This record gives sequence, C-alpha cells and structure tokens, in this order.
Amino acid sequence: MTEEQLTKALRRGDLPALEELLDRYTPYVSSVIARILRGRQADVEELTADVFLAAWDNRDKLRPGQVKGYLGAIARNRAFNLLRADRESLPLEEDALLLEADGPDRELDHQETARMVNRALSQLDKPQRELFVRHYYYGQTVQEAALAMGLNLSTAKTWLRRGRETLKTYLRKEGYGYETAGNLQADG
Amino acid sequence: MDMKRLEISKLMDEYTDTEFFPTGGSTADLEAVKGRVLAQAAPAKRRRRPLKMALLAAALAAMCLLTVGAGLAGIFAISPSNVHITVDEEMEHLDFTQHNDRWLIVEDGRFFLDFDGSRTEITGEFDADTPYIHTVNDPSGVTFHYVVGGTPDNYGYTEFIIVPDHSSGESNPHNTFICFDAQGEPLLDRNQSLYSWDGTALYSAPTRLDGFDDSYRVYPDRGDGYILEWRWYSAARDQLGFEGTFGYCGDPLPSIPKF
Repeated sequence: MTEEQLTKALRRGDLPALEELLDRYTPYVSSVIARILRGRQADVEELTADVFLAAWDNRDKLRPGQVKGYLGAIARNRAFNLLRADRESLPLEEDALLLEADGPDRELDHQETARMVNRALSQLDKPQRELFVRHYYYGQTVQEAALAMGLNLSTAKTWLRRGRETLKTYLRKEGYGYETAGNLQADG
Repeated sequence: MDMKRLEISKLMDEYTDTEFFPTGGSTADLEAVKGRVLAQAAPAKRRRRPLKMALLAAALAAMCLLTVGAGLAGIFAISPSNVHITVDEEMEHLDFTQHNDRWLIVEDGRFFLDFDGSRTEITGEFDADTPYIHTVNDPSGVTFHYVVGGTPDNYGYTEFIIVPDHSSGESNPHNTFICFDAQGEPLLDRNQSLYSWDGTALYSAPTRLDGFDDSYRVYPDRGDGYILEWRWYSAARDQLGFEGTFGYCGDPLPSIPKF
C-alpha cells in the first residue's frame, strides 16, 4: 500500500489502514518518545498509543509524504510536554536564551515561530542542521548525537553554537529582543 | 529593560522534521500499542451502523466550572438517567459518574423517554427547530434537563445537568451532547471526546464541513476544529437560558456568529 493509498484509507476511517499505520510507524514514534522520556518506559507505550489515536482523530490532516513527520512531531511534542508537566528537563546545551527586550513584549505565535525556526535552520549546512535537530528537537544528548553522526564532541558543540547564533540572529531580526551575555541554563 | 527568556526546545515545538528521522534506541512493544489503539479506535467503525448510536460527551467541562463556591453543603444527586453527581462541601470538586443508562429509546420511528423502565412517548413533540425538554428538579438543588430534537432521520439528544453555584450567582450547565449526521454517524462534540453508552471512549469524527445543511450552526473552535450545533439544540439552550454559555471551563465563547 502506498502512502497515498494509506492516507486515503485512513480518511475513510478504515481500521485496517490504522493497523498498517501502526505497523509502519510504531518503532519510529516510540523511539522518539523513549529517547525523550529516558527511563520512563511505562509512559512510552501509553504515549505512543496516544500519538496514533491523535493521528486517527485528525486523519483528515494526514498527507502523503508527510505522515512520518506529522507523527514524529506529535510524538516529540507530547513527550516534551509530559516532561514539562512533571517539571523535568533534558540536558540540552544552553537551551534557554536570555534576550533583552525594550518596548512592548511580543509574543511569538505558532506560525511566526515555525517560520523563524525553519528559516534559521535552512541557513545551516545539512550536517549542522541534523545535529541541531537531533539535540533540540529529538532530545539526544550532545554526546549521543555526535556519536551517531561520527563527530567529535568539540566539533558538535561548535556546530550547536553556530545553530544557536543563527537562531538568535533571526530572533533579533524579527524584533524579539537582543542577545545578552550569559545564558540561564548551563551546559548539560 | 525587560528580559525575555526563550527556550530553543520550546521554539522547536513548531518544527517538523522531514529529513532526518534518526533511528535507534528502545521502542515500545508493537502488539501492546496496537492493542491499545485499536481498542479505542474500533468504535469508529460502529459509527457506520444505521442504528442511531447514543453518545455521551465527557463530563470534564463541568468538573472545572465549580471552583469558586465555598461554605455550602456538599451535594450528592442521582439523575433519572443514573448519572451520579457528587460535589464536595467546599464546592471545589465535582465528580460525575456516568452509569450510562439509556434514556431515549427509538423504536420503529417512535421516540420514548425511558427512566427506570417507565416510558413516555414523545414522538411528534419535537422537530428540527423545536426541542422537547423534560426537566427534573432534584431535592439536592441539581436540575436535570433532557432534550431531544431533530427528525427521525437526523435526531439528537442531550442532558443538561445544572449544579447550583451560589457564589457566582449563576448556574453552570453540564451537558452530555450527542450529535448525528443524516446517516446516524456521530460528528464532533465540543470536547472532541465522545463516549458510547457502554462507556467506551470514541474519538471525535474528523471535521467535515462539507455536506452540512442549514440544520446546523457551525462555530469555529478555538483550536483547529469546529463546533456543530443543531437548530433544535440552539433553541433548547436559548429556552433554558444558556445563551453564550458552553460549559467550557470558565471561559464561555462570546459573540458566537450564527450561520
């Protein structure tokens, strides 16, 4: 079954198509969640099921060629949200940016943020972007991401710093504030 | 000068990976996940049965409405449809236990209210614009409104449960909301959570705005979806004085346009 056939069948509400979706993407979705939740195996199965039920509820939104990314985004965000709800965090490299802002506070809306992040990441070379995504999106530690990509640790940290600087550039350019010395969160 | 704190991982919530998809690491048991998902998704298949399926929406909305009352005696009430309502003395916790007794019976195009086996025929007492409303005032102060409307081919019913909240001077309707399209398939409820009579969670049908006729009012939801409302349902809300109140968690939707 092609992905186009699969999404069509899902939109019709076919349960066999849902089963096919589960067969194809459960390993990926659960690995995304397991990587972020780290050691909370009991939550992984439940959250993985939630991702597919959310996709089932929103099956009209599934598009051929975008299914894996869509499921991954739900999985990633639900796992992060669970950590946030439990006031837990991952050891991310300088995750918190502290910016000085004069004038009225500007809230980033979803679309603006998506546009800005996509633009910033598109400025990075593909390997640098991959490292950034592995770390800040999938929650891999710097060491894990570096190992997976065959990088040494110092190179990986340099690349991540470059990614952060690119993001900051866009933040400043879009008027969200000015970079200030120091960061709130130390290197994990 | 104000300081702004942004988290990169939070900004990345709006990102979607379309090129890397790293693999590896532990995974969940496929069969266990399938079991969970298919068990909950399966009722969607039942929506295709021609038999009208009654659905009860979750009671969650009302649970977070009663948060400001104080100094009142606790409330315990059982609705004629066997919903158990418990409100603690501080009026801070409201618990609904739905025992899912079916109170609307449809047989051969005839409609009956059925409370404890006592049937009352209401055939012909409602239509697409006019609801039939049966009200029961419980000695506890809780009021139950049973509403039926529509046509034999496209009907719906709902139960409003009004728990007094004296501190705010207004009542907060909790309702169980059921909606069908002309084929008897359930559509979308405001909580986007539907439950069948046997308590099985049914997930919401996808938003389908095509093919709806003017028997519905359609509201944009605050999320991505829409809220559908029947004319008879709107009329019932108006008659019961629920204008502008949706039973949302303390945040009614104002200025709802009528379609």
